[in-house]
Amino acid sequence: MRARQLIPALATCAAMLLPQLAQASSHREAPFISRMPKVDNTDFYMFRSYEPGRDGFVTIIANFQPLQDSYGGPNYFTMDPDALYEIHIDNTGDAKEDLTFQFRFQNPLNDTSGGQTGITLDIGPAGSEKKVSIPFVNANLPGAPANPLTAANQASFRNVKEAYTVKVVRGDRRSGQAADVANGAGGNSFVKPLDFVGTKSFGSVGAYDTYSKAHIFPAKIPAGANACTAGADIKVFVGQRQEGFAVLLGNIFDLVNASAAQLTDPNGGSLGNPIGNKNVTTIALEVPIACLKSAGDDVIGGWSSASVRQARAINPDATYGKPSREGGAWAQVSRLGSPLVNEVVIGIKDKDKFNSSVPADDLKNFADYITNPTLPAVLEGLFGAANVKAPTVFPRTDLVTAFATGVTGVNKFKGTPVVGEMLRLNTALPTTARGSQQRLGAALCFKAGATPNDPKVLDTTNPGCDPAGFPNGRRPGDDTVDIALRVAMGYLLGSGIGTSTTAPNADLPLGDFVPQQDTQFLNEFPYLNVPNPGAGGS
Amino acid sequence: MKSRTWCLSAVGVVLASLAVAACDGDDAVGNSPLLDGGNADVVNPNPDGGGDKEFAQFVKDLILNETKDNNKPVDLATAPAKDTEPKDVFEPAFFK
Repeated sequence: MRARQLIPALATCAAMLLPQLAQASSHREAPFISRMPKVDNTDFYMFRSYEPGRDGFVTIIANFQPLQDSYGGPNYFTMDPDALYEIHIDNTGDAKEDLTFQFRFQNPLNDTSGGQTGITLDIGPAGSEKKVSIPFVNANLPGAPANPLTAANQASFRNVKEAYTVKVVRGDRRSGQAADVANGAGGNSFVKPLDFVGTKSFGSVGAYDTYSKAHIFPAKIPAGANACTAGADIKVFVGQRQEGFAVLLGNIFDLVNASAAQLTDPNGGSLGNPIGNKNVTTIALEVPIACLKSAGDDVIGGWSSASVRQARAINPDATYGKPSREGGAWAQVSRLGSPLVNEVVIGIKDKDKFNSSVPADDLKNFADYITNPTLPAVLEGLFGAANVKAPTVFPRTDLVTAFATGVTGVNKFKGTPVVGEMLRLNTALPTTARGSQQRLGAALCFKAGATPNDPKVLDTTNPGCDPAGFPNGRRPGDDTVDIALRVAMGYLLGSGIGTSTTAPNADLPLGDFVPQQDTQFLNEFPYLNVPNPGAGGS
Repeated sequence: MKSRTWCLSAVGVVLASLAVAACDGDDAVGNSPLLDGGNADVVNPNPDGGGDKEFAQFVKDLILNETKDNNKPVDLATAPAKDTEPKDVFEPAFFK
């Protein structure tokens, strides 16, 4: 098939393909998690820090609470105090966690009576006033205009005081050895900044930036068995950020309301991110490489999860502190490693199962979805008359490599690692500075084989090769939608457009016309942008 | 990157070999009876199927007796089916 013939078909083809991507990386991707947005893990990033002077560290970001409307008051987007948020690291290749960072949140009201009353105002005639609780999360009073909320005055003005603790568990996340991460003041509690209520509450976007940066905390991992024997300094941040995932959301649901030329734009498009006006809640860590990797391997695997207690009893006489009582063991309800796996790879009947599963069981549970993916076949079945052809090579070992094993010599563990879906990062590969990163990540490190039917071969001298990008870890600027679309249609299996019988669409520059680029993000921890304000402009 | 050129076709061999490795190393397989072959990381506290216990009491027992950070979730296949919507299982003091 020639490119000219293929382009008209792609508009329709993408109309079928992209709606599945439209739930975004992992936003509301499974039926059950869509009922529980506070524990819905939306994106997971893991990369060697490219902030100047920080390349001895790995930044790990786990986003939660999808598609937040910034004006979502009065409660905004506190984390679930009854949930357990976790980031897992495998550094031995057995697809089981060797290191887990656990986050637990508390959100008491601001009062001296146990956090049940909150800030009150004296209301009523002089001499017979009543103390009445305010209905807002902040009360920058008195003042006309209101005093901006700052890190220094929030103890007085903030009505909901959200804070969290971090533990490190070495070994199994439930039965391993757990220890608190210490904050810089000798305690173990960290403050989560109030969401960006609006510019009147904080003064300006710049003032909120200053406020949120004050919640990037130095912390110390307790001594461990690897190179962290003397403890290690890390950074911790939890707070609201602008949605970092870019996808053509509204247009896609409107039968991909874009031209074929847009969908095959080799430059990745020029539309602004349709969900860039949404926010997410970010858990971010920056950890020394030596504390994450094992002594014998530079590769680490990472994924995040969220769990809730298995049982919940609703309090028929609900209070702020006790709307319910929850108990039982932790039951995992959200899981995320590589983007888009639970959206476009796992069948809908197994999406909830995926969220409750662990990587070590992936071969048993989900192998067929990777080796024999349905999506390309669906596309061919619907659009075969327009010469849309799925790859013909089975099992799809190219997808196994991308999602479940890593590439030998790049991000695959040494020895014979266990198959498991997680994000794999070779911590020894150098970083690529912001401004020089390739939006297609490491995809361009592969060049055409000897014939169109031969798999692409790894060549780090290939123009555009950026081995520091997805799927070698994932940075915010990696355009994972475009990468995933191309890989699913056989990018790694052959070469050319219409010239390969094993992967006829191998080199079609498929994309969603919404560019994702490193320069759209910060050049410093936590890399994701300041959130959109709930009210007021920039 | 140590190797400048590496052929992707080699991963076909990897899949088969890793399948063997996974079977060797996964001690979670077969831990408990499962309805759907899903999460093996669960326990069965009611091997008799719960007997005459109310589901609400089962939930209450979970909260009162199984709330530990190192516990594994119970297998819901063993939860009692009986649910007469009893009004007195969760007394007000339970929420205090």
